[in-house]
Amino acid sequence: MVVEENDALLVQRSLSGDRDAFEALVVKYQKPMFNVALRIVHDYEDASEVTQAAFVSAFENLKHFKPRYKFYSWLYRITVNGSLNFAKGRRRFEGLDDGMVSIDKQPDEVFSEKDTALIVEQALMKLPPDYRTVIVLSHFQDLSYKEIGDVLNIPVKTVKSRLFTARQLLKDILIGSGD
Amino acid sequence: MNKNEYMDLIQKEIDGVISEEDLRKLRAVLKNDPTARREHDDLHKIGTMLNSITDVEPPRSLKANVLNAIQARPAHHDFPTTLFHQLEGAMANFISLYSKHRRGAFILGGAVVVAIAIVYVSSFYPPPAKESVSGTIGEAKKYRGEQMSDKDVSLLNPEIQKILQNDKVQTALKNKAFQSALANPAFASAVANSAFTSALANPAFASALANSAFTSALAKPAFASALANPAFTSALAKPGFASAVANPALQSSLKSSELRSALKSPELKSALSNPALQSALADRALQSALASPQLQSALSSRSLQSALANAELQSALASSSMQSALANPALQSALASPALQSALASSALQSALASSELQSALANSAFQSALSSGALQGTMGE
Repeated sequence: MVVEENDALLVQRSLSGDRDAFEALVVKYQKPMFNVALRIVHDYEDASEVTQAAFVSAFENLKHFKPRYKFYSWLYRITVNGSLNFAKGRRRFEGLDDGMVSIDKQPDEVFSEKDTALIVEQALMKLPPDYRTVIVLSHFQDLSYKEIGDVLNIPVKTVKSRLFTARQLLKDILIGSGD
Repeated sequence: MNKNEYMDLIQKEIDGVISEEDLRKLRAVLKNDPTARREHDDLHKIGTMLNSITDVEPPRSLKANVLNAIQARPAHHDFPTTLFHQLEGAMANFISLYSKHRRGAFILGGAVVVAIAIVYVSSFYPPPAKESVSGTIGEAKKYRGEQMSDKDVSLLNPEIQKILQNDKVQTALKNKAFQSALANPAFASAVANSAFTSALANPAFASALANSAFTSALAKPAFASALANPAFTSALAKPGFASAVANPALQSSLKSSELRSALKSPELKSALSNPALQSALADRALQSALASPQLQSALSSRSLQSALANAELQSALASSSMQSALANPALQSALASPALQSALASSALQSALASSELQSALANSAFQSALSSGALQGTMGE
């Protein structure tokens, strides 16, 4: 993802009490953070609340932010952790019976793109949160292995391993094991 | 190539990080291995399906909600780091000044570091209960030797750790002159005052620091002693005073040994903390007057210092009519006249100013009105 050089400056200005600078950070990152939250908590209103709480938490803890890190990685981490905590607290894995989202190997022939998106979202919700998160950060936010590692505070090797497993799980859910 | 190997290559290909060489290897496997080809096609299909999910616009109210929420947060959340950034800037000044004016600059450098530590500890220790910072990214875990244990070094507070890890602070701490300054208890006490650290952040004061005469004055023990007085450091924090010390004439006057000696007086330091006097000191004409040797000599007089410390005289100085009088160019001109300065230097006048009767007279509104009259000022200016 493209990150403008001025994040560090905006953070510094925010620390000096410049609320406009923090507003600029909110404007810049509200969409990606909201979408990360949405893919993890799978509810528009809940995602809005989680994103709002993430920005407020970031503001309150800005003094703990270490400039050597990228601000967006730090913000992603706050958002992801908030989303995961919310999802785990809610314990709401909207139920889909096993196989309900299984589709034909020619999904485009059967489902519209909108239907496909809905099915994929439902399949994502069937993944354990840790695996869902790496898919969200990799596929929807285009973060690199290293960036995902920074966000989740895990080694790159673990990122690759989780991505592999997550894709296999998604494949099993959406396409079937094929065995 | 076994399954784990080609699955790794498929994943790299999907994530767009596969090398040309690995891509050639993968294509060779896919060409000859139907199982690998099927895995490849399925995973790409998953990728295509994931791409069907597009970004959603956040609710319009999100930004406003966030901003409303943070508006309600108290500003002191920001203070420690803000203070640190200000002092870090002052430290940068110190490094720059040190190479030019070694003696003067190290004192300010000392102020910066000691202020960081003492102001932080006095204002923010014990630290407030830390709210959840689950989003904080942990630092890389580096090897730590066993020479020191937790009992040897206790750096519980991350802000202090941050300060000590700062390159500028580390450079300064290695300097012998700087170490010597830090060892001065009076100076350490002076910089513990938060008002002084606020003054450091004032652009006018920073400008004064760049002046070699001023930094030279700062290096004098008398001035360091003056800094130890809370009233004086409080005065330093006032905008008028900071502006005054940025004035070349006043900076020049600060070089005077008499004035430096005078600054050691508790009474004068107390008087300097008076807002009215600070406002007066910010006046260019008075600054010029202060630069005169006679007035500096007068200020070093114990009786004049005592007079200035008198509550009634301070009250008189604080009155609007007296301030109006002081603001009058004719009176300012009179104060700048060698004759009046000479008169002020006389022990007789200083004694008179110290007398309770004259101080009462000065506090009298009628007398203040008279002082502000053009006729009397004209007479004084002649």
